Amino acid sequence: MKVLSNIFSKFGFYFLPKTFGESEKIVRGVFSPMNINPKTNKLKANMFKPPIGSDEISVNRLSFTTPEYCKISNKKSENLDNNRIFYGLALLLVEEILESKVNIVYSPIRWPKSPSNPFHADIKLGFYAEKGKPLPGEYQLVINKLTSKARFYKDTNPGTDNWDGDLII
Amino acid sequence: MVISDFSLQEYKIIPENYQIRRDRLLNSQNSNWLKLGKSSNFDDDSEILHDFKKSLDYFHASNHRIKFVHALHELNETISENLDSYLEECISNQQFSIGIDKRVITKQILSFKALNNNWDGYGAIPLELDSAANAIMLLTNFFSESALRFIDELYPNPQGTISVIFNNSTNGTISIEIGNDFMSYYVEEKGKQTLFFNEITINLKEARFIESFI
Repeated sequence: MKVLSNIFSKFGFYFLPKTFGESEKIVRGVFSPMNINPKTNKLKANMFKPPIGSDEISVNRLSFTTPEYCKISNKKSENLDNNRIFYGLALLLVEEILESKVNIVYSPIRWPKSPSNPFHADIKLGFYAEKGKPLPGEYQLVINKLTSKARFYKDTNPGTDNWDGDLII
Repeated sequence: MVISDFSLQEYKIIPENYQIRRDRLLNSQNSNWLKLGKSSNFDDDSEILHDFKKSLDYFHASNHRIKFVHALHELNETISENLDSYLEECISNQQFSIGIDKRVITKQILSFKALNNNWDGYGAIPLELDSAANAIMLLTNFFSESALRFIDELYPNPQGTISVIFNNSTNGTISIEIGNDFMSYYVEEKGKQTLFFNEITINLKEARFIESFI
């Protein structure tokens, strides 16, 4: 299976297992200074809150790819005019996600959807966010706990396609 | 009386951090401080006290916060009674604000309104006007000044609401999310069951109840 996987990957086809190992690394791109405490470089909980109409928090399976791929993939969401700039990556291990009482599912983005991302996954909060409505206290606690476990890796050169941050461990 | 052989390394006052970084005291610091405390008064033209007064005046003029004053107070326990009284007078006259003040909170909340659609790269919407108004009302009208000192974080959320996190005096956490029509929050304290309060009306009575946990 691994041999086939390696062959197919050379042509842009990736076969990742649907299940997750506990020590698998999961990353989420950070785009806004509103997601980081500038004094401590700690992540804020709004980093892991879903958008309206969703209970999903979009992430990448770093263990199967590279920080460069994650950076390039995330930079497609950049908008310099709106001060939306790639700052770095927030890292969690699968076991930390599961400990926080949320789930994670493998949800690759494949053709014809664009841009494709075979390493995409979603952390499922289990509660759908609504416009102008606060999350219930129970879900605020879950997300705050999740956030406290996450590590922020800053990219010191966000303008390039190379990962210019610390080694993600 | 001037302490001629006393040499105090530079006090570096960093307004942005509201810290005093004391480098190094020479010549058995404690005894020198004690000498200074016993023998000088605030009107003394000793260089050190003169510098302190200049710094205080600077912070007063620029309306920086009282963390500087508290730090100064702590460092100078043995300094003259007159300087101590001066500091107390400043605090009681509120010439320096304590902790986070209402103006700062209001400015911060208003700054969130500048966020555009998709500000977080994942579909976040701009701050809702009603959520902003409710947050300003709750924090600046209903909470007391002393409660505001315990604010640890204040930030916008992807669905247009605002979160405020308090860390209370016993290291407990109160996490409030303020929306267009109501707020929801939890209170987490060591050794106690976490309490959850959802869809709570934003008013003075509820604010006082939350304050009882701070």
